[in-house]
Amino acid sequence: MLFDITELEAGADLRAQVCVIGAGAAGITLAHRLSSKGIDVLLLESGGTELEGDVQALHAGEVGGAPYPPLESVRLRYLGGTTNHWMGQSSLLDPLDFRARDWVPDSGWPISWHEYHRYLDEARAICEIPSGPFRYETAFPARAVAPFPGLPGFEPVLLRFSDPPTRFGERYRADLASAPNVRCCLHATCTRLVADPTGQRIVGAELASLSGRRVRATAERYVLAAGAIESSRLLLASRGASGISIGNAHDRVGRFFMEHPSIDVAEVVMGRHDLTSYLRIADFTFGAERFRRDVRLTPEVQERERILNHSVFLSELDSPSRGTLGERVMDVWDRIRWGTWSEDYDRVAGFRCRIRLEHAPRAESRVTLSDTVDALGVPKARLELRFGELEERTISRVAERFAYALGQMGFGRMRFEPGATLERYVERFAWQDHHFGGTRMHESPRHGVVDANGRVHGTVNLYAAGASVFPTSGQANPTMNLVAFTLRLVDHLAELEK
Amino acid sequence: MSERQLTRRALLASGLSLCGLAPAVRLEPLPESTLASAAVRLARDAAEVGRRYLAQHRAEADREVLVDLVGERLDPSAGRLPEQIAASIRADFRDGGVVFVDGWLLSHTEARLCALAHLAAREA
Repeated sequence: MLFDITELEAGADLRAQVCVIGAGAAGITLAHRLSSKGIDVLLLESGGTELEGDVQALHAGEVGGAPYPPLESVRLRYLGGTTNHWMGQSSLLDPLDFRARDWVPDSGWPISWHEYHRYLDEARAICEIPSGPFRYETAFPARAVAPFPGLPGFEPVLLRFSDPPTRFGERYRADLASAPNVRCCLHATCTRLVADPTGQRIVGAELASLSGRRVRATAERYVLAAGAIESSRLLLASRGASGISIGNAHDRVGRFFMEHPSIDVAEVVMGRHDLTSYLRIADFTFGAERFRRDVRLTPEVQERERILNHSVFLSELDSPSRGTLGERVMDVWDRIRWGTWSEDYDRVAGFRCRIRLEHAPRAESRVTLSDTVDALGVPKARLELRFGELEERTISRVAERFAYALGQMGFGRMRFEPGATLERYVERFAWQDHHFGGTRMHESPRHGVVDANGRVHGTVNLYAAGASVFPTSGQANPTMNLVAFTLRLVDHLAELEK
Repeated sequence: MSERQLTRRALLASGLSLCGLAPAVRLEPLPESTLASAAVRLARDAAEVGRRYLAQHRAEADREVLVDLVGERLDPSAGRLPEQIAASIRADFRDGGVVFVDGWLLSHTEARLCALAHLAAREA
């Protein structure tokens, strides 16, 4: 059942077995799957079924550290959440992402890649991503697509798509409405979690709407599924009797926030011969399915170079500058090599080389509370993104190795700024609106906010779901992967309810 | 200079001419055909790359020096020069024999061949 908070009387108390705060990919997955297991769910959505300006404005906040877009422009606050601007792009987390890498402080997950992999098929079905391998070499019939060109040190990365992207609000609205044990309350913003005097048990959630309606939700268990910024903000704004925010006994809430910065790091010229087609044509279709192919340095090389995970792809320039030195060089050697003599530079093409990188987990990259409040009286979020030597070295080494590999294979030449400083890179970062961390997963409350099951440390009945629990961000897009972890949480909660 | 070195130089120069750098190294007349303009462009492009390389490496702005440096890895008597040049360029990238010219990462072999083209064009 879907209903609006205004249909309730002021002061009403909504009761359920599980209260899910946030109706995005994680929240809707939780409601949908928990209800199918016979569990009574209350799903809270701050917005309605369409974008509304005044509700969206509740996302406004402050930004410090690295330059970053306004917080209300990088998330969406209505049914379906940020899946409403999802591009559908999906790739796998790597086994490397789960490892405690000695060169990446605070890396490592308390669960294994195999544990994550168990839930992938179901996550793909929910996200409507076609089945089939994510491994480029085995995903297609022999000779059906361009072979990976064997760039030394690099390996292929295959992305598959939810196409058109599944808008969770639209796609699962009817299911939510018809499920007998799901109640989805719209325009219900959770403004505070209320704990008992010990601070260990959540006894209620205070809900408010911009129309002035204030009600309460009471459940056996609560799940925060509001995104990395909002889940952190709500915890920080919810102080227990001791004055300490819920789950924040060790000052971990909001910390280790991560994005997926990308940077156009170089200009590339390449010959147009067949061997380069893997790199030249990143986006392609096979049958009716859409794909993208990137490259990255192998895990072995990443370990040797002590760098972060990443992906590299080229996009052809619409109007490349002509007569560049790289173009002249490639043109000379391509003509000699292939023996063609045309008047134009049409044998070579110009590309932009973009690197998307893992953001290293850092305690000082964080969400805190602003001194100002939103229209519902909740302190706004303040986001500080921090980067360091690891990101600088990753960009620099990946660019350099890519340039060497292109030259070694005779594919192209690259122009870039060797040894650029972190500041130079950060000012050119573009963002994916991928938000990780804030309620990161770690066995110890000294290092994380939730345990391996997603339960907030120091509490008995509060959980977090979504990319906010990711200890590291990897290079993969988050939606499909966060749904996989959410399914794992569904199993855990269902087990507890037995 | 030994006879062997002289032979090597001559072979190298003629090999470069076969590679399409003839106009630059002035060893053959330009063909009077539609190919001529392309050949001129090729030589001009190579010379421009070479000019920028030599602006950063003035000690190499000497034909003898460049032929010696390039000739270390190229042996025209051993087979087709285009393949040798391509192999030498690839080896440069594999072994770190590279140089930044105007921000472009180039192999030493290609930068020096282009420098030769530039010197020849300047002398023309």
